[in-house]
Amino acid sequence: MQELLVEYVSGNLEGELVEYVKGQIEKNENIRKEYEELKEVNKLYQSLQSEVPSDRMKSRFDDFIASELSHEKSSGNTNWGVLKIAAALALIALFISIGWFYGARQNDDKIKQLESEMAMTKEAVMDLMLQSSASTRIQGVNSSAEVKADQEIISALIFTLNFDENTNVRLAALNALAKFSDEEKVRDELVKALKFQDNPTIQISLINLLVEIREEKAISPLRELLDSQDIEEFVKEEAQLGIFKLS
Amino acid sequence: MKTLMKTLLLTLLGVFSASLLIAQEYKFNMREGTLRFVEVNKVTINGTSGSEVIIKAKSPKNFPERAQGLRPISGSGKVDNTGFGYAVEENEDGRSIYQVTRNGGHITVSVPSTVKLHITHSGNQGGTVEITDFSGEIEADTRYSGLKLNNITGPILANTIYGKIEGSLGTISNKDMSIVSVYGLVDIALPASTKADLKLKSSYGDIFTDFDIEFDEVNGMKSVRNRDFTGKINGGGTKLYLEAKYGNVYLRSK
Repeated sequence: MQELLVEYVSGNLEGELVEYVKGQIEKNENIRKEYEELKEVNKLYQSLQSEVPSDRMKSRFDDFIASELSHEKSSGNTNWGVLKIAAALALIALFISIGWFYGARQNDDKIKQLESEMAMTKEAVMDLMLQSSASTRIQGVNSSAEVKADQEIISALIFTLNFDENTNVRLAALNALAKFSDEEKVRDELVKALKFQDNPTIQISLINLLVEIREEKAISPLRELLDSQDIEEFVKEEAQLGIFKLS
Repeated sequence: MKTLMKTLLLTLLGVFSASLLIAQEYKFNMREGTLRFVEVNKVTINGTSGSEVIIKAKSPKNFPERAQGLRPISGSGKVDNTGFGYAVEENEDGRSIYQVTRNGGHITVSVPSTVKLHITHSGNQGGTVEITDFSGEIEADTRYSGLKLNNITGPILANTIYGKIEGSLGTISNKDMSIVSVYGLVDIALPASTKADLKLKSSYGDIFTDFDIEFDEVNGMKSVRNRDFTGKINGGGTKLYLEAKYGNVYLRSK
């Protein structure tokens, strides 16, 4: 039952099993308690996942400090103000992480357990994306947001964006990929996808996303769209607008 | 002599109307697989718990008198095998229904909910596809044709460029749904008790609802600028994605 609950909380169950687990949760108080607990842990896990961007912020901050320092060094004058801010920020970060670790420790075991479950579910997610039923594939794409995203998941999403036969599934993959649009590889793939997509819904969504992330590499393939015979007039208008906004 | 004539006439009339009736209906057994509607202009689909697909021509298709004894064919090689201008073909994962004549008459199709519906339409001659009481999976990809959904409970993956998608859904399954219109509107009514994780998006339109949405924390400025919202109703559940890029999104509680 516990395994089923974990799968249920991670949203990996389907059909009758869902109904069964739901029924059990309603009927049995112990199971309900366990479910509530697992749900909390899952939430915590999700919030851990969302810590990733702050790492990136941190590295950006590090870069900023490094460039500031080298800049100051070259001018032969160390800017102690910047260093002081950096030191203060580092200290604050340390305090936050200590507090965070302290609070999180009691849930640590459960997180570990859930993490290994999640690693398994990554396989499950990618498996879902290859099923014959479109509604199952979109479930795979949508639940990719819930597992730890890595290159494999990203590649699977790119694959789905370019090759899935259902427009809604491809759109879901595009939306999922938008979250990784600060990765060079993803941006390049989005630019490339302009040539593959033949459905206007996807074409327009893709153009809008490329404009939103200000990907200037898209300008030349967008120009190609304007000259293409197979592209709908309203998609060309969108491409024209995109070129205008990006240039 | 008079009675004989009368009997003869009545018999003839009987045979004629019977053949007319038979010609207006086409059915086959189907419990699983995909039923595809390819470029069918005017169609109403009703879900059933049965095991056969029944196609009925709503308005009798009047072929020209000269066409008597002939059957319509289309440039794509489809041959009318229903008697009212439609071709039904068997393929590897189910059956496909094609409209053979240019202006096909309206058909009503009863489909077991265990069958998957797959609707594609790219022309501008189509009407709104109406689907009622269907609990199976629906995939629809159209350019101009709209969709009207009544008491639908199964997963829907629908997208259209110019059409509008209106629907009143029943107690939906836990399978993800995605409903998208580029230039049209999306208007969906759900039972007030529906548990769902919502993602509502309109880049250039507005979003209206009377649901009490528990908004997820907005992750960064991007979401705000994008006019896309994620949130839960009744604690969350089925993932429901509604997007109208240029039109409005309406989400109603019923």
